[in-house]
Amino acid sequence: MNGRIRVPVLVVGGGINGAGIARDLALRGVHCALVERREFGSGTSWASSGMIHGGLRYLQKDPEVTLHSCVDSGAIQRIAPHLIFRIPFVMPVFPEDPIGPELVEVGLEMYDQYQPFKNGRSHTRLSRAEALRLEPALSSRIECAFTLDEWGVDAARLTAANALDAAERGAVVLTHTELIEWLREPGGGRIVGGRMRDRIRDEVFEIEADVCINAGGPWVPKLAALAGVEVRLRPGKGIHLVFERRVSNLAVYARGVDGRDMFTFPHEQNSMAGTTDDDFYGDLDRLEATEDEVAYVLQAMERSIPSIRGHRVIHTIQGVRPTLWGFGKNEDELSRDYIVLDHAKDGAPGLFTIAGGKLAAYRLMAEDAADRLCAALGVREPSRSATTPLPGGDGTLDVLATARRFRTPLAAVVRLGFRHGTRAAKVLADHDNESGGAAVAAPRVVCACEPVLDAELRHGVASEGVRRLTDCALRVRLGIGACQGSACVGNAAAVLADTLDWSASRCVEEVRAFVDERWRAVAPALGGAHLAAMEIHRHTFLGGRGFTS
Amino acid sequence: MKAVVVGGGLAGSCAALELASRGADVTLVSAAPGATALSWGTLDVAAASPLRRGGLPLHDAASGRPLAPIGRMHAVAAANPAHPYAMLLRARGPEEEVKEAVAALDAWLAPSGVRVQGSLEQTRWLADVHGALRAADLAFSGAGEGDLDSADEIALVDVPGLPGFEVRSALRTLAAEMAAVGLTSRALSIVRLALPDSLRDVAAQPARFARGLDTDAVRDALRGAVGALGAEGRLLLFPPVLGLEPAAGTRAWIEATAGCRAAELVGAPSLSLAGFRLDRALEAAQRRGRVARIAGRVQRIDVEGARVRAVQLTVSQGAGPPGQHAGREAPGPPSEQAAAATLACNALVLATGRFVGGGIVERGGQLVEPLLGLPLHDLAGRRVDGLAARQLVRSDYEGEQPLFGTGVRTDMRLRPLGSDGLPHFANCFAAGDLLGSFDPARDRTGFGVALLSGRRAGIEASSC
Repeated sequence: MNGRIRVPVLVVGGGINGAGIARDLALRGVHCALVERREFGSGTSWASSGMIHGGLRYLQKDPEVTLHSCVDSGAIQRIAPHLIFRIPFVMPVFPEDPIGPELVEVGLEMYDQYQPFKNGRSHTRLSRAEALRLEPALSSRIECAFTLDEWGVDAARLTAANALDAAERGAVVLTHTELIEWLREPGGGRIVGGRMRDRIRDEVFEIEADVCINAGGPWVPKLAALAGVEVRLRPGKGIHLVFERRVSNLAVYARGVDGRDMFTFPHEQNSMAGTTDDDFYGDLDRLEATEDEVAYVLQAMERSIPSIRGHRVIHTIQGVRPTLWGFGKNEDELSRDYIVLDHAKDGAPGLFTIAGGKLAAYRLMAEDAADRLCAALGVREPSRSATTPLPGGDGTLDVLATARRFRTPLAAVVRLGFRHGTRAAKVLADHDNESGGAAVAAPRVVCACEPVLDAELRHGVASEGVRRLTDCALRVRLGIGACQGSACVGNAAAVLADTLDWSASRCVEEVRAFVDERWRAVAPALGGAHLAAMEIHRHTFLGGRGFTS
Repeated sequence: MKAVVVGGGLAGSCAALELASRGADVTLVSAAPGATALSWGTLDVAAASPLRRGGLPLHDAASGRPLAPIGRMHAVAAANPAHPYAMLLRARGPEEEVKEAVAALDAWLAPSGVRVQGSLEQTRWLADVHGALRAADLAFSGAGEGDLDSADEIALVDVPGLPGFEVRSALRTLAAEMAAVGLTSRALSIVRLALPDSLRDVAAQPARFARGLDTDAVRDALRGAVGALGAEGRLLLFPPVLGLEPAAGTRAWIEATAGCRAAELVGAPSLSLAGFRLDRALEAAQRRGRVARIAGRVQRIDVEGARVRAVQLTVSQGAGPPGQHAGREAPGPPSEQAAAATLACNALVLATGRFVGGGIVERGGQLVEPLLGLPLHDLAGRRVDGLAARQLVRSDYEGEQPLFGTGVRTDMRLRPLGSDGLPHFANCFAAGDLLGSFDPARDRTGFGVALLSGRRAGIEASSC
């Protein structure tokens, strides 16, 4: 990227907030540049529970947050139906619980009123026998149980879809690009853009903009400080455990030793359990789950699902919430609300910040921030992001017909359709055109856990701006299943090398970066049957028995 | 003299075959295919990896001369005095020890059509499925015939539809790497195996495709296509799917049909069937060598004072009674109907592997050696049985990982040591990955420890 880029708006941070803002602006015809230091959603968005739920938990103290989340959840379901899946929850009540079933039901009745916004069903009350029949993994010690309805989403994919849509509507979208410094008008005046560095090409360039917004999530204070502005957050670290497979049919509420609500929930091909919430003061760029956090989550889950320790934890996911500052409160009591700040009063006119919030209300927050930016630009276009489908969200993919037409395994087409919606057929058709038709070379499964096709990886490079192998873990869930890449990463790197014209040594570096990243997510929870998988992993990547050099 | 070997991988097989060759009445108990079946083509007693941090060098640092594999074995032992090589190479003249073991393995496998190729004096260049060069020493038939330096022209064979082999990327990598080490005069190309319609979908499943290649029906269908691949002076490098049954001689059939040399690329996980063939060849060698093989799982080991007396096991369903040659059984716990059996023994060899084989397991958050509760030590020599695995890992993937060097310690005769530092039993021996103080992945000592310690354990046990 040489020379200068001139756009009305510069968005720094490619998490769900930044990507959502870029898309909201693009739909209003406002061009922007969206820059992300790593891969879309690789920070907090990826580390979320991957749910667009209302947040029953916030109902008592933050009913606004619950309302916003539920309303916006409904909107997200309309614009990205392919990325959404229903997660029914079961909430067990134990004899020793301080709040008995009657009081729990009062809370759920309140929550029922929000369910229509997000197409959720009302709660039901189950007897002990009914609950155990419905979810055999539940502890037999329960007194009774309740069900409620929530929705899951592939958060990384949702982020990428927003960024992709923005790009297709004219935004300049750059990953692996970091802000080095803000540009100021001479004399220390307005913020008028930023000096950027492409971290892969190691090139520096400038983006000039009329207004800029800091959407750095937990990195917000750091980015603000570059403009001499203080934004205070109270960052809270949260981890999830990811199991090799589904641990339960339904999501199950659990309670930590300190009384915190957590849950184990089926998510995509796995189950996840979490999350923790602890004040975080460490290095945001090198997050690792700790042994304590892992033990705390397992202990909580064990009460609701006694067999939980018999399941194999394949990796952890860790992130930091950009929670708004509050003094004298426990982590859990901090508001999940968000703010949009105009830093004109802080001596940095032209710079805005968005901070806080929930994944479930990302679109609403993005709309709000875009409204503020448009006001600053004098643009009067209304937001269209609640009604315009995201890429692939404009219909339903005929999975069977697509699989047959492109001679592709059905399981792979199902997952392809999940990520790409109606565009899945185009991914396969492009492969066909390039390889001389499916009769010559049908798409091949590269990663069997997910599964991921070579055609999808090539599409990622050609049409979605995939630049690194590590991008693929988030973008298409490559190499994050039971084998943690032993079976697929070498081949995936070869496919990317072919399309991105990587040298042999670049290819090795890409694999190494991928493996390092996976290991940091595996090591904190390593144990049990996963030891054998990681022994094979080591032979594969370090090369003991003639496994790759 | 009755001996029981627990574990059917390379180490256990070598121990059993050595015992049988010395006249012992040997029974080998194998629960399931283990790490040997997951290997892919090379034996590698001390493979150089000059580009990797902590990898073994190609050249001697002092003299600058090329380092022979045997020299690298010594370097490994010198760098880590607790490494099994240090003990195994000290026992006798090291050269003879290694050469004898290699010769013995070659002789055991040869009747099944699997040879040990390469030498301990010279490093050879092989290519892997990603086109990366491997400085290999010993390799099994398949990959072993793929010496890049020995051909005028090298052709990578593209099998359309086969997953796990990106031929264009492999060619580019191979060209760059060969240039880097000065193998510049060889012509490189890609040739495509023209699959008939009937085989196109089969290629998506490497194991099915490989099994087909062992049959006359598929060979007849492919005769023309394979014939078209050949050229004078050409070395054909196939993805590692040339047959499932070593004795079927698929690679030899391809050479005869194409009229030129053919070898396999060194494999990658999920694609290579070389380990599967090795496993089959070891099983066949046991049949020939009068080793009784039982598919089953050891439940308990009976001891009397300082001696192991008998092994209690459950025999997998469908397997024959003890003393008969049982077929390969699916992994998993024995079913309720599984028959119990007791094998009395004068000597016991544990070749149960590490985590893949089940020689070390984590139960209730504690690492244990499940058969005898032997003390375990990590790479740094710390006592670790009873600790959780995650306490033994570090965040630097490529660095030393105490967990992956965990195993039992033994005396010079390979008898596991108890808590008091003395041999636990007079007639119990350990071999292979169950031995601690080495990390075969990081050391790149391949099957070296399995081969040397397996054979030595067999020799030691035979004198019980």
